[in-house]
Amino acid sequence: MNESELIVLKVLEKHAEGIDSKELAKACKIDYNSAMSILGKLSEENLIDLKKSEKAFAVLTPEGAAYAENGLPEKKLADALKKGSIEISEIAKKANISPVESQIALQWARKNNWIKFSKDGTKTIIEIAGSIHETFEEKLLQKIHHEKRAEFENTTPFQNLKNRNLIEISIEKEAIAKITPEGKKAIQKPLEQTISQLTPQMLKDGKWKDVGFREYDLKGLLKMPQANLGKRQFYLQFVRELKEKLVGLGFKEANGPLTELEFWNMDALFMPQDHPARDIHDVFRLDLPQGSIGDAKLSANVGKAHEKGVDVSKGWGTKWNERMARRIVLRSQTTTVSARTLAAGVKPPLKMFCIGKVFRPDDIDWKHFLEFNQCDGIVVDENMSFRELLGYLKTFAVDIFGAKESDVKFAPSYFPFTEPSVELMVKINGKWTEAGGAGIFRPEMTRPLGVDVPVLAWGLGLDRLAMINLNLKDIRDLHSQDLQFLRNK
Amino acid sequence: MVTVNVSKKYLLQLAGKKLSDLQLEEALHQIKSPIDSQDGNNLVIEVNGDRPDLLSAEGISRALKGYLGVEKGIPSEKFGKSGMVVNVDSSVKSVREFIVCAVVENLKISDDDLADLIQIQEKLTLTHGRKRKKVAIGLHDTSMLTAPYFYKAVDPKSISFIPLGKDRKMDLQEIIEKHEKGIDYAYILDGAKKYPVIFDSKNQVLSFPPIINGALTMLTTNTKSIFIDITGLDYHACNIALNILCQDFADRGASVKTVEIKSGGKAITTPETAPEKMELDIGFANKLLGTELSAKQIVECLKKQRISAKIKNPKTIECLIPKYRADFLHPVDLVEEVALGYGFNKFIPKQPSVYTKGELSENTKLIDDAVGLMIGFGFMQINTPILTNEKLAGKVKSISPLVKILNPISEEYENVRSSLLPQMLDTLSKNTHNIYPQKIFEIGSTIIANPKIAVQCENNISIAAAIASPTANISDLSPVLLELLGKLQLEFDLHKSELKMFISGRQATLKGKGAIFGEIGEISPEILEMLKMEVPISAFEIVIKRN
Repeated sequence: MNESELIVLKVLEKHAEGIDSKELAKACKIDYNSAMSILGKLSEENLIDLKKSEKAFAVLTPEGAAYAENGLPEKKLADALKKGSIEISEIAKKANISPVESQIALQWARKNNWIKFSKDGTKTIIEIAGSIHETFEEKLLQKIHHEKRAEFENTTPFQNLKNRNLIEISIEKEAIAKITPEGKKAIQKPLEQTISQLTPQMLKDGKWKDVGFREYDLKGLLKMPQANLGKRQFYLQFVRELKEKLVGLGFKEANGPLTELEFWNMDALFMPQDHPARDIHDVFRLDLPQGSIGDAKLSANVGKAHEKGVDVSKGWGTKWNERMARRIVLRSQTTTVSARTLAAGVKPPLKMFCIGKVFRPDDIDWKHFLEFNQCDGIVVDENMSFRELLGYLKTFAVDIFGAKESDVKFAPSYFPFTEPSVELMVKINGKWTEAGGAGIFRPEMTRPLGVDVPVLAWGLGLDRLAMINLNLKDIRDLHSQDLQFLRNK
Repeated sequence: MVTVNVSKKYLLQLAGKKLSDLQLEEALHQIKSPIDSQDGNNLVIEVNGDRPDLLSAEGISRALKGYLGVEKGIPSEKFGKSGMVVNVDSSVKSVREFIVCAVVENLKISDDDLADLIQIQEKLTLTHGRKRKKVAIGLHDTSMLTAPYFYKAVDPKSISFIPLGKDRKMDLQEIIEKHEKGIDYAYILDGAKKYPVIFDSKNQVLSFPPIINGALTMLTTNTKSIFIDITGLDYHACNIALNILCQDFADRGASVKTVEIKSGGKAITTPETAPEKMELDIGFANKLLGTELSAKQIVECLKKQRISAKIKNPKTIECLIPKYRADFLHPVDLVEEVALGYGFNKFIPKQPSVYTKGELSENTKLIDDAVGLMIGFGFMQINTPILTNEKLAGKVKSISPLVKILNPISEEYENVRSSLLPQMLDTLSKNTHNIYPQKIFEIGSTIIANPKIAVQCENNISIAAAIASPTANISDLSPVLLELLGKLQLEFDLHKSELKMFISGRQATLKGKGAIFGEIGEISPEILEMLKMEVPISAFEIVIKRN
């Protein structure tokens, strides 16, 4: 037995008739939960007798409190009738109660045999019938009003008040502890030295040899609060693993800015300046001054590709406007990074990838958000061909999406900057799903950037893939702020 | 990408072959017009910007016939002369220079046909026509008209007519200001002093392009003969659109006839249908595809794609591309046609064999190191959007002004974040029901306007962390900060600061080598109150890489 247990027992000794656990906690100056845990332990050792019970108390509802204060409606009706009979439609006015209350008043006055009805032509007249006395309900109501609550009994007055919604029942748990003869004996025993914490001082002075250590309640250990947890965000973890896979396939990671020149987001990708995707509805423009392309020759080359083409190409045949290319947007595709990589000068063979945020105006719903992650990559080498491109896509499908080889196929597609263009289709959950777009960059795109060898290019949409992989129902969960959700995901 | 509605029955009837639903679905996917959804007989088909010729059942069936081998090479229709003349006045040069026309006769039009015609006209002008700016289309019933017609730019108040959708005469100015279509498309004529009109020999107005047609020439199920006008800013784009429409009418069984366009003493006949010639180098095609196809095989593939092809010499194939195709700039475009004709799924994918060394970027390595440390310190990572709003940032504070989006679509997301702390505190305020202490962190991009940078913004990498607990204070967090920056080898000094977001005297700013900067402190009770937080928060945010 330790000190606090002894204190509890001593208090119990003073209250030989038994004491409620709440009062006990107060008397011992400990909190209620500790008191209950000590009582539990003492009871297991038969030092006390612990009787747990539940008590129901009646307390007034707001309506009940109002009637206790101002009188029950039937009483008000009776008081009004003492001055003379009343026509039924005039009850509310004469008794100074609301129309709803007048219905209640009639019902209960009649039950109490206080009133009687008579007919005068079409009118119904009410008069006093018997003596008006204080009812049990009224008495009880006043009692609860004055004493704040009363122990609930299963009697008619209680039931009536409950049915009239004037009282409500609150259940209170009670534990009465009573000391046993064994308990009384235990108080006499010398206090055993048990401690709950080994201290540096004890180690220093060797006092630990004289004390016992308090045993833990194993059930209690299971009920301890959650441990603090350091954890990677589940979606970023998914992206991180994907990067690892691409590095394993020999791809080198590159990055680029989120705020981007239209030049890199569109023009360098050979998207004509009147292309519908350059419309205000398809890209977020930023409230910033014009940026700079920084390389006059590069800009002129790209402009020429648009206006007149390169090699044997005709180009778009429309005038190219550098000012438009210098506007700043939030990038709408990570292909910007591929274009920047090519323009910076490449030594084949080169394999590059970029995973990052892109932004597109859209209606937000369970599968669309304004920003999402994209994964783009290129393979630059003299001998690359369409068949190699399909080979890479198939590798991605199998190695990254975990698809079976038979669940992979290809469909035609279109991007202004690739030709041929192809869509990777993967069967997921029995359904053919578009898993990524790819193609070989057009010469009109690569030549102005100074690249003369074939460039295989591919892009995978990550968020939908992550939703399938992580079993999410809503794309917004990728940005969840719920710490419990993040902990469990 | 747009979608068009097509009747399955009509499509198969045009294609002249019976297909199961599954076969049809696969075929449509392989000819670049995949089914988006279907409801009984109605197919909703996706069409990309490169193929305006697939915006109708006729166009799709043309490609389908090639794919199925029913018909190969260029369609054989020749268009006869109508004798119709359109006189073009030089005044249109400054506002809407080009016009091309055709006449369609021997028509039978049902209500379904009318719906089809409206659809192709709308979708064609929307995509290929860039919302009528580059190309606009008018179809007219000719029964009330007297040839020849005239195309001229006139004073906006000088001509009035009853436009479609109205029952009274309006002048051009009034149409621009009051007619729904006028209001929608007025921007195309922005700044023009004179507006283009097409009228007949009796001064009856057919059209006010690209805004609206006259009610006089509206198509009905009684229409027997149609006059097509296509106006625009790019002759080739106009001529392609006219070819698409004419080919569609021809496929419907009508007889299409040419129109003479007279302008400044010169005359041309439209539509110009002469196919485009392009040569394909066999070696180039095989190299790009990774194949060893014979010249004959390549010719066969192209013909399936409705391109006429013949072997010119052992190295070269001469191709004739129909004028209704808009997507041929370079021989690579022919190579894709070869691949499509061959069948994408017949290619044997070649496994990657080139050896290169993969590597993570410096940014990823830095972020990885920081994440590893923070997790070691027992912090949970969060991932919040980069888009935010002034209100949220203002609630908390923001080190730098937020860059604004010019065309936001939601009030909640109209700025780009410059700091991670607002979202971090917002996250804590949404978790007051969860157990404390809460220790969270985020690493991500923060954007700060900077005119010295080519993209006008710094795209920095920041890290922020916060502890919320009944006993949270700076001394819990500063060891984390010290250890983190020490391990990342970022040197720094602390300076006294007076930031409003923190309690005075219980905060510091941080400046370091490599231009890193940030702050640490205990969040002020005013902010905690505003966030309805019941426990204190200590927090820091540091830019660990400036870009």
